[in-house]
Amino acid sequence: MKDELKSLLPLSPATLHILLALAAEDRHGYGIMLEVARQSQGHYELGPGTLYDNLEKLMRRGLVNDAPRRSANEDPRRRYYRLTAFGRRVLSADLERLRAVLKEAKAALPAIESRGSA
Amino acid sequence: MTRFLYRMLIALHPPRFRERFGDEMLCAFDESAPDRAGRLFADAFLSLLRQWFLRSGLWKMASGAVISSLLLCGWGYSMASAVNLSLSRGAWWHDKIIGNPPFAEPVAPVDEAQFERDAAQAVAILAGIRKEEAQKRHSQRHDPPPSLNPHNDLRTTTTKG
Repeated sequence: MKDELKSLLPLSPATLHILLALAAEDRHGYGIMLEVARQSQGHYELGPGTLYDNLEKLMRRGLVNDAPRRSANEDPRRRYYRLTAFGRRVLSADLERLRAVLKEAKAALPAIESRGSA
Repeated sequence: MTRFLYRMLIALHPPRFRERFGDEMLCAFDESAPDRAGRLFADAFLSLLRQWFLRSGLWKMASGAVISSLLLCGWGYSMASAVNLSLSRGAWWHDKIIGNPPFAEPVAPVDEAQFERDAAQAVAILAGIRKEEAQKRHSQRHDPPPSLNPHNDLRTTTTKG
């Protein structure tokens, strides 16, 4: 299982954003698109083609699965997606990796800045 | 109109993807702001290429077809080269062994006038031979052989006695 988890890392930006969007709650496709735009402050926008291609891959690998619809009044075309336990572990592992990268970057930043100013 | 075109783009996706996500893609298009239509079209077009060439296994078939056609072309070319080479080598050996045998005298070109004169002479000789044979046959027919002529036998017996 650990090898399988490692084989999925590092996550692509689209995958990372989708998993992050689903970390807090179940969302439908358009909801994921809006959440990704919000998280990245509009710098990263997912189109439906890219979103559903990534969702299909994530579902096939068991990181995401279908979730029940919230209310019967919603557009029947909407389908909800949920992060699985395995998906949550993969997301945690990638966030840990990013934290380590950020730590290294912070340590290297004074040296980089001093070189830039010199 | 833009919605119709977007639907057409979705309809061009592979059936597996279209049936699973086609309605949701159209739903997302309907809910998006109209000023994002250009980006959504670009995204759908890229998705179309991605789904056909990367996800549907078409690239495997396409690359298989390209590789097999290249192999076939290579095989055909090598066969043609091999046939050409063997023919040219065969011709070379033929020239070396039969066409120009070692120590052979060079063949003089044919003198056609001389050839015709020789041929006419040969025909004349043959005609002479045939004429002589015909004359011999004619004389044999009119003069019976000596053993069959009774006068001849009598004459010989009388002269002997």
